[in-house]
Formats: sequence, structure tokens, C-alpha cells
Amino acid sequence: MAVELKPWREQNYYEILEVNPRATEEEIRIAYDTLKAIYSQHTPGMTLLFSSEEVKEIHDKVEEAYLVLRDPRSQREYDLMIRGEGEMTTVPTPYPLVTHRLLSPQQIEEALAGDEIHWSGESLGKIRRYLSLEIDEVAVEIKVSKHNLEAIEEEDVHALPAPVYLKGFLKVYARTLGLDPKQVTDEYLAGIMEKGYKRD
Amino acid sequence: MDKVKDKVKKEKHIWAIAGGKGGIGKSFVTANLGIALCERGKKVIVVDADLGGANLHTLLGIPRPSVSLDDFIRRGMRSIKGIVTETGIPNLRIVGGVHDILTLSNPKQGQKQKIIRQIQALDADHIILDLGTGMSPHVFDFFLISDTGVFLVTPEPTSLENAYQFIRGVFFHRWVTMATSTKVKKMIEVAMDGNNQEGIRTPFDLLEQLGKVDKEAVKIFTKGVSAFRPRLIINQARNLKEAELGFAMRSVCRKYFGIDLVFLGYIVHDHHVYSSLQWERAFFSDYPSSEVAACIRDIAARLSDDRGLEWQLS
Repeated sequence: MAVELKPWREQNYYEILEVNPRATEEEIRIAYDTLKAIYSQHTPGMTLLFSSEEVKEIHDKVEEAYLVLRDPRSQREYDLMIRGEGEMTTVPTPYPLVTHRLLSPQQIEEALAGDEIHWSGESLGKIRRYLSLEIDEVAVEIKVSKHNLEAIEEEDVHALPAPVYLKGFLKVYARTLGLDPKQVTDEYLAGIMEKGYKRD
Repeated sequence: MDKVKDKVKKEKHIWAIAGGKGGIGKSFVTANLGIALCERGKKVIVVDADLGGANLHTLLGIPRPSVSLDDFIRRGMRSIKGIVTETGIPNLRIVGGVHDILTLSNPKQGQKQKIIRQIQALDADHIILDLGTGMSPHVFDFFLISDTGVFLVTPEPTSLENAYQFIRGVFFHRWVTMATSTKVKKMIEVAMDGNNQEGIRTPFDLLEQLGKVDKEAVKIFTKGVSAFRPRLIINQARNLKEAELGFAMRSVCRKYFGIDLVFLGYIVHDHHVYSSLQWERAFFSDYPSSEVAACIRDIAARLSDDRGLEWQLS
């Protein structure tokens, strides 16, 4: 990669991450992981050139760059911006990890691999995996603990939260997966009642 | 058409192995990298350019050459060819260094130029210079006059700090040699002191200051920065984490100097190296299948065709 003589504070996100503008998603992620480690721990000798404040600043910049470049949509907007095209004149805000667009019946059918559509812990898990989402990242995104999401998918009636919370969690989870919140909540609750979950 | 030309043109590379700190294995790496390149069928000459502390011959397990750079400088020999000595290893020859002549630790500019011109004229595929310890201008000069300078660093914090200091020194020294006006040279010399009163810390601070007095100089320095692509080797790595410090150095150099440091690879720490030194033997000949030798072969492979190849994590 050609390096341009430019202070790091003026570098674009690709330069910050030390990748080619045509880098693949994988390359961008590896570069991010590497740099995050370099600038978040005390790397010996570095302080001869950078103060600890600067190290922190570089670390934050790496984080900021990755949030925009990890998603092809915000990346595209950013590309247009740095080329002076497009309408944006400021850095695009990172897209949320999860889309809220409803899944089509075909997509649901594909995700459930022929199973009848009935919303349960198992079928919600299938949709999540179909969307290649990890429980951890969903948990961070929708602010429902990983523990609760796991209990929902496992239909673990003893670990599930009280009904008032559970309903809220199911709604936001369903929306996140692109499903109809009401239908999911009703069917799911009916299912776990049979397993001994108490409404009150 | 181009391909044919490449084949006809004789490729010759001059590498300078340097590092701020003493005892980090410059001579060891020079000698054994030389042997590894010979294994690849290259003609190699190693040059003991450690003016004042020459001991490269010991690392090759041979006695001190009877003629050396000493004779070339002091007796005013016309050509360096007469002091190239066989090492007993096929295709590997050595130019012995100057020893116990303290005044020669800082040779005059004219002498340096003469040495360098002679080295450039030597007949070999690869010429490796083993540079002295320290951060004197003459070490910087040899580093810069070679085709490619190679920083050798060990993972200890002191060595890393020295390495950054060395890189900073050589980076600014390069600008001093490129500068045409005394005023610009003076300003760079001020910046070379990391604690200068002007508050010039980074190369960019300096460029900003220079922009006020000499715009042309700024243009020359900015344009020439991509031509400066030093290499890096991490020596005596005890684990992968220490080896990976090379990636951190590469990144810091990009962000601080705006230079592309090419990370050639690492050499593992091995106590056998110590005993081989004790016996004044060439390590490569005694331990050809050791991990150290494997690391050095990897680096030699990347140097061999000089396409700027780097070590990458798999």
C-alpha cells in the first residue's frame, strides 16, 4: 500500500486502518483487530514517539473507522464522501448491525427449511442463524442480555424473565429479526405456557 | 520485452543491517543471512562496516582476514577488490572491518563516499553491510547509501526504544542530506533533538515550520518519502507475541513518520546461538535444521527477490 505523507489526524478511514480502499470485509476486520490490540495495550517503546493521550486518540480513531467501514452501506456513503461525490459532506453515521426490514414469506420459508411456520424458540433461532447474527451481537444491539436471549431460544421456562419483561423482549427480538412482533409473541407465549411457564 | 530486459540486467542488492543497540545480533544476522542467501544460489559478500568493532569473521567461524577496510583506508588502496576474502563457504566472501583504530569510528565524508562507491562496484548478487552500534551520522549515512536499510530489533523495551530513536534519527538525517539550504539543514538538526525548544516533535511539525521558510524543500521531502522503505527484522523472539511487535512498529512508523516499514520476519530466540558464538563457529553450518535457521531462510527468501514481501500471520 502506498503511504502518503500525512499526519494521522488527517488520514481517512482506510489510511487509519492501514488497508487498501478495495480491501475485503475480512481484511478490514483483521486490520481492525490488529490495530485495536496495538493501540489499546501498552506496546513497548511506542511512548517514545506517541504520548499516552495520542495512543488513546489513535485507538478511538481506529474504532470510529471500523464502525463505518464494516458495513457496505455506510462504507459506500463514505467512499462517495471522500471522493467528493454524493450528497454527504460529513462522515456517515454507522448503520445499526441489524436491519428492521420485514422478511418476505419466501425468506422465512427458506430459513425454516420447510418447517411449518410456528414461532417458538427453535424457529426464532433458525431465523437468527439464517441472518448470520450471533446472540452476542444481537444482545448488544437491542440491549437485551445474552442470558435472556438464550433462555428465549432454549425455551428454558425457569430462566425466562417475568411475563411483563418477556413480552417486551420478544417484541423487540421479533422486530430485529424482521418478523411480525404480535404474531411471534402470541405464538411463543402459547407454546411455553404448555411447558409450564406461569403468566403471573 | 520488459521481461527480457529484466533477465539481462544484473540484479544487485546492497542491504545494511542496523539497530541502535549493541548486542542485538547484527553481525549474527548478517553472517547467517549471507549463508542462507548462498544456499539459494546467490553470490554474496558480507561487509564488516562496524568501523571500530569488527568481528563479523568470528560469526563465520574464520580467522580475522589478513587484509581489511583498514588497509583500504589507511594505505590508500585504489580498489576494494583486493581485500575481498574467501570464507570457505561456497559463494560467500567477506570484506573485513577496521578494528582498534578509534579515529576511524568517525570517518570523513570523503572516505565514506569512497568506501560506498567501491562497495557498489563489487561483483555479487547480494552485498550485506554489518553496521556499527550507535546513532552517529556515519552509521546513518551507510544505512541510507545502501539500497535498503534493515532495522534489527530485539523485543526488549530498551531495544525497541533505541530502534524508534534510530529510525527517527535516520529519518531526519535523510532530510539533512536532501536539503540544499543551510537554514533548512539547521532546522532539521533542531528537530532531531526530541526535546527541542521549538516544540517540533513529529516530521509533520517540522514540515509545517519549514513551509514558512522554504516551500521547495517541503515539496522535495514530501515527494521523496515513498522512496524510503526500510525493512524490519525482529530478532530473539521468545514467542509469537514478541514476534508480532513487528506489526506494531510498522503501524507506529506509518502513523508517526508516514513511512512504509516492510516487516521481513522474525528470528526465534535459541540458546544454541550463544554456544555457537562461544565456539566461534558459523551457526548455520552447525545447526542447519534449527528453527533459527528456518526463520533466517524465510527472511532470505523474502530478500532474495526483493519484491517488498512481508511476513504475514497465517
